[in-house]
Amino acid sequence: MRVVHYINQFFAGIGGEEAAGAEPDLREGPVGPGRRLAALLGDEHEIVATVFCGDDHASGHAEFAAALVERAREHGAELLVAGPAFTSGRYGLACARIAAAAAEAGVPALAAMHPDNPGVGEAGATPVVESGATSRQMRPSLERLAAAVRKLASGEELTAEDGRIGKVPRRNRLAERSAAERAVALVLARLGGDREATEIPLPTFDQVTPAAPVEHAADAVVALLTEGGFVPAGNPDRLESSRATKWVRYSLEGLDSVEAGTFESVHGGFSTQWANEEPNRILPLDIARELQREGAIGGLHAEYFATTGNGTTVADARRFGVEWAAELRQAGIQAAILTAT
Amino acid sequence: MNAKDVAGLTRVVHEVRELDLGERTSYSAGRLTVGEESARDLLGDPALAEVRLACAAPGDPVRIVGALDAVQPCSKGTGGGGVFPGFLGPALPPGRGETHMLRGAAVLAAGYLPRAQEAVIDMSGPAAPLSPLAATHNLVIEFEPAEGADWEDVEVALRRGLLRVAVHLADAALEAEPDAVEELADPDAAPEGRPRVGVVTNLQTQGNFKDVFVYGRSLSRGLPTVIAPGELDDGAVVSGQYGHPALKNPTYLHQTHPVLAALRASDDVRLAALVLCPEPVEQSGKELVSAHAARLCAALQLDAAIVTKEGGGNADADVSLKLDRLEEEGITAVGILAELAGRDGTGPPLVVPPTRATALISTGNYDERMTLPACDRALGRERIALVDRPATDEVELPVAAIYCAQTTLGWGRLTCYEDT
Amino acid sequence: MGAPRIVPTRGIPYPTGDPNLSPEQERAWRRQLLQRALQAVATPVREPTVFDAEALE
Repeated sequence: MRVVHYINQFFAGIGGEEAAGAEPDLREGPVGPGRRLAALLGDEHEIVATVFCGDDHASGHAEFAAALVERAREHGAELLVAGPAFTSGRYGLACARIAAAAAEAGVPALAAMHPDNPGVGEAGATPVVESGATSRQMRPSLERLAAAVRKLASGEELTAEDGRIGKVPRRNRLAERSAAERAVALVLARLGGDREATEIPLPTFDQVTPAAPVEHAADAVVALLTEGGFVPAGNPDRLESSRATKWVRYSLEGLDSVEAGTFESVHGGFSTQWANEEPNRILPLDIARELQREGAIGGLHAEYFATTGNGTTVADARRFGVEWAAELRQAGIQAAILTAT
Repeated sequence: MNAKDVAGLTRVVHEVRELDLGERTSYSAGRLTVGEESARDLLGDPALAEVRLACAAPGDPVRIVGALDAVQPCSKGTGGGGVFPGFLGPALPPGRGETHMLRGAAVLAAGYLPRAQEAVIDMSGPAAPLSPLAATHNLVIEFEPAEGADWEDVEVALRRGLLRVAVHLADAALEAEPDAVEELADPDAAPEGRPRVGVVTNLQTQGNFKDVFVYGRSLSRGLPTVIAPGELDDGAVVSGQYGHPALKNPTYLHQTHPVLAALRASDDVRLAALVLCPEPVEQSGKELVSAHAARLCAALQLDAAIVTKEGGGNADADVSLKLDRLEEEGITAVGILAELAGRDGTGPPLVVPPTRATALISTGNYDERMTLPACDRALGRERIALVDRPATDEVELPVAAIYCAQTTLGWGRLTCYEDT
Repeated sequence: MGAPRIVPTRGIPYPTGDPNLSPEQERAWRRQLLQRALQAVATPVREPTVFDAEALE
């Protein structure tokens, strides 16, 4: 098969964080780790092109995925493979998105990353296979990825045996026994000491690696963030009151405080009377400006970001977090204070 | 131990292997004939302008669209203790003595009611294995409401008619030699070594067309209650709920409660109790009912409990809260739930998952779609509104539309397969 | 749920406030919260850590 490989700006050799805004592009043949991947794939499959994009650009421009998939197809792509992204969150998200976009365009695709990568849940039904945590595990990660590519290319579905992680589509089938009989069997299993047996696995919540501390708060440029559904009065961009699928951003330039009547909370999960009476109770701009004037912080970001944390899916919340981090890094922000309701 | 010494129910079982319409109702050697005139008389009501009778047998190329309630024919004999308390008989706990039942038959209403979501039964084809009512010989009752009749009155009339016909049909077998006699002793407290396992069955209580009745009354705003499992055979629980077709528990499934049956059939556990609970809509009600139900189960000295539900995602909360409260009482809890994993099966499976309990049985993904082939004849409604096609066409439907396909009373074998 | 640095507040509807206080007292409490937050971001942590603002009083 003709394979196209997606990697980020770092593995494409363009640069590190400073090149994270690199625009999407395509090169002939394998690049960087793609060379070893090509060698592992042998004669059966050929990496005809490599597509890449800066991690921040990918994070802020969801359309990068479809655009690159189109270019890949023009180059004859019959299968797309993305990563390995290891634990790099923006890269993992980008890999997941481009794999999903390829699948949607009818091109079999898969992505590779570490199980803790927030991108794991973002590929829809498109497979994600496990990689190591860092590029020190590049070799075994590529070996596993190559095996998965071969299996996918042969038309088979990838399973946990292939290192498949994340969303494995739940598919209906007819069991041998009725649900009632299986319920009785499960009772017996649990009474017998099995603490794990279940037919519906429940979501576990991720561990996040804490960011290194800022050296001096007085030097740090700080951003204010909130999940309190905090928007300009009238909610001009229609942020949802629950099950939010997006986040919004508004300017704080020229404001020393957030006044009642000019901002409001549209959060559907609590009574917003106190917030609307005194909006600094949700977004503490008044005190943040004081601290800025006093030099207790190096600066305050000109914008704030908001969403509504009420019945938001874990997947969406994770995505917002990755996107906010990318935005704030691009803007030179060192620390953020998130008010949670 | 004979039936007179131990409290409980004796089931006198008559199998039905053929069903047809005729002049007079009769039952003989597995063949049930429905006397059309008698049936129409029993269904007669000012709220119904017309009723039509049809038969549908397992394997027939027939599709029933708009299935409403289904009832298993049963009777305690003319002049006997009475079944369907609160509807046909006095509102008193039944479940003792002998009850005749026609196994393999059902009386089923099909058509339009407000708030009724279109439920489909295919008597043959790929969807047939999914519905318990595709495995029964069905007397299907279609109806036209009387002009100007209130829908509530139509529904009451249908329900009364269904129950009356169900008893009338079972009465035809009273003198017949039974195919089986099953003794079902009430649970008792005497210790005997096996784990005591109870069933907690949640009933929808959302008012008109979304209510389930116990002794003819709604449990809405009530607290959990314990009844003897045998009372279900005698129709202590009757369904007036018509939403969520795949998750529906018609009267038929309350009467035959598969989870109770599985517990009775197991040599390794002992059926210890049946607890019925309302499903309040508001969170505070859910919390109270769930906590109280767990306390009841503890007072009943249960080692484990299986929790069932009715309705969609809102009802998941009632199950999850109960599972968590039960675990906190030290009672092993297993929940039976359908999954709402989206069309491609990758969405989060449960709207409200439990936070402490983790033992769950899956009755399949609600959102997965399947293709039902064209069929010869349709009963109930002429079109399938969900896809706006004639009812006899080939149609693609979500599993959600197949009657009882995912019932958490546990009849079905549909489950989610994890590609591992 | 995994957030590495957490400053507890006094109420869900008013994370950086307290309507039981006078406006002046409330601003003082808000300042306390923010100062604690700044302290938290300047502190290395390895796992979810709570930085209590009440203790600053």
